[in-house]
Amino acid sequence: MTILQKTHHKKYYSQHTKSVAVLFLVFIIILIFSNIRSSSTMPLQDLFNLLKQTAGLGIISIGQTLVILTGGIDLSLGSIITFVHVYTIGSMNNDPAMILPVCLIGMLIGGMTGLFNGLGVAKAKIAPFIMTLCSDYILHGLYMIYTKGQPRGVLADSFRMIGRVRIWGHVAVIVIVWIVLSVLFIFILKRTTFGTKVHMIGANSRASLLSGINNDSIIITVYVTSGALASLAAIILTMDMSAASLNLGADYSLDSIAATVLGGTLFVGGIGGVEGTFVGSLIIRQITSLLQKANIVNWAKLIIQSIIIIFIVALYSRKTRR
Amino acid sequence: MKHNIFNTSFTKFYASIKSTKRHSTKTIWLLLLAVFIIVSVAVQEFMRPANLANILIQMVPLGIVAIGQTIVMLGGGIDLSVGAQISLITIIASSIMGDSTLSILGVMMLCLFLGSFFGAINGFILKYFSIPPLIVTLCSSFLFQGIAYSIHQTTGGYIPSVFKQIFTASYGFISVPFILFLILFLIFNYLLKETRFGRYIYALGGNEEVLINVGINSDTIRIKTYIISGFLCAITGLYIAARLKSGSAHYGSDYALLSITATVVGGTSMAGGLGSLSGTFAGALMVSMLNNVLNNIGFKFNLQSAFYKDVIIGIILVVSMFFYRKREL
Repeated sequence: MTILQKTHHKKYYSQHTKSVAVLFLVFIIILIFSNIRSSSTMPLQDLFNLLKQTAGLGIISIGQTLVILTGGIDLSLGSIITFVHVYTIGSMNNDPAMILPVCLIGMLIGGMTGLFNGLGVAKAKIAPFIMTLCSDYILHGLYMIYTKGQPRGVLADSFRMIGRVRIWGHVAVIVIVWIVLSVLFIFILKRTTFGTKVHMIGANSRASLLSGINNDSIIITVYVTSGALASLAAIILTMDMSAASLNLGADYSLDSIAATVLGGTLFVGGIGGVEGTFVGSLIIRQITSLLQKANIVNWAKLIIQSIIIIFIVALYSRKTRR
Repeated sequence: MKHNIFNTSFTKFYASIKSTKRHSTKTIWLLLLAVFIIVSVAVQEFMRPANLANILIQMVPLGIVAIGQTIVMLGGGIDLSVGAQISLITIIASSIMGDSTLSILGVMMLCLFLGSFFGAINGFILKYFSIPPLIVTLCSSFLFQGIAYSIHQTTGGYIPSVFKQIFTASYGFISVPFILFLILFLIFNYLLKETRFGRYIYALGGNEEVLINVGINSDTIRIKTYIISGFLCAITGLYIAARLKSGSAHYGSDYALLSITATVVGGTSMAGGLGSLSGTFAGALMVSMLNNVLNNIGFKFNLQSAFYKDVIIGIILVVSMFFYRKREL
């Protein structure tokens, strides 16, 4: 890497940190705005609620960020979530002894889907979005076959107790998991060779291949991580629920892409990180809850979100071209 | 020395195999024939004339969308918003169509115009924001889906019976929808093969820089491919609305993946510049044939065939991408 390229890269990185800072500001402004409007007596309670609502999306978006950093995209996350969710509730059947095996198999479902995606993208050279769209379709068929269209089953009580635990009286378990995972992946992306390799593949896959990096194994690892994180999120989200739903995962594919892109990760790959995604997912959830408070229905959410994504991507692509 | 000669002749031989593989759509038609023979032996109900005529009718909406998808893909793009566009058109048509001839014709014209307009939106976003086509059409599909939901949440609307009768009239193997499909197929095949515009589309997908250097506005060509796709979606939407006599935000939801499957199975490269409409024709026939067979089998063994179809279509697409992957390297 020549000095010129290095400074170039540094410029992008400083731009990235700047945009993350701006995002934080935007988020705080939105938060204050929504707090003025709400009549709740405890302003912090709103924040804790928001964190709890965001955590699932946040965990999933970490995986999506990794995939997008390598220049790919993962459209199968929504179906992984629904499949694992339906499977967890359906197979546990109020039996505490089943908790561990069910969770492990749930993780395996996500991991195997990720492996399938990764093999298709890395070894068979299939375009990432087609590959993951296919596994989305296949998984959709599989969970419909599994549930026969009517999900059923009961969670074990001890499993649901974990979901009800509040640390320091307010913070749910899922929030802790989300924050720990975010910090972990920020560290991995910034400070380990694996993180550098992920960035490099996205920036220039040929250069990384020529410098001796095993692109295929990194890409496969990234997709497996993404699938496994989606499974984990699905299992933790399921703790909070009493009945299974076939619509749980429907929005997560688009939401996670929106959060990642909003957080400053470029679609072409190579630039971005989990720290931006953290704020991005907070903003996406805040917008959703604002829309819900304003009684705006689901279709408006779809329209607004798609416009936001196009707008943000356009903004960032302008910036990098300059 | 000898080794060398062998080596060069081998490379030549390999190249010749590769080049025949590139241009031939015979493979897919032969494959279709093979599947047809296997299926007709294995499933008895399949060979009934009524069933065969049905397959031809069932492939029509998919075939028409897939023509548009092929043209977009030949130009190096992709259109994931076809499904949402179709749903939106069925909803618009079913909510404003009246009984009078004037109203039917007017609504048809309006829908065709709107379809082209939706395609143009995709094209213009691509041109002015320089975002990858995948993202643009993914987002616009959610946009159109949202607009569709905002008009109707449920299945409903009104379509006059005359409109249905005209669109679905059939006499044995000759049916209005299939003739409509054939006409569209011939028109666009002519457009791709014989006109300058068709060459430009291939060039756009094959090597855009060359096209620009020759002095052709590549953005205009790209926008036109998306307009064609939107126009064909509108025709499909009108046909589906007529056949089901209603509109719904879910009618089109499968067509994005199905049309990509038909196109890719038919030998069109995802990278653009390679492929043909006749391959897509065969791909669409293949998909609708398998659909029909799965329905037959599912009915026999009381399976929920709709769910198995998702799995099988997904696997077919992955496998066909796997087999075609060598050409794109």
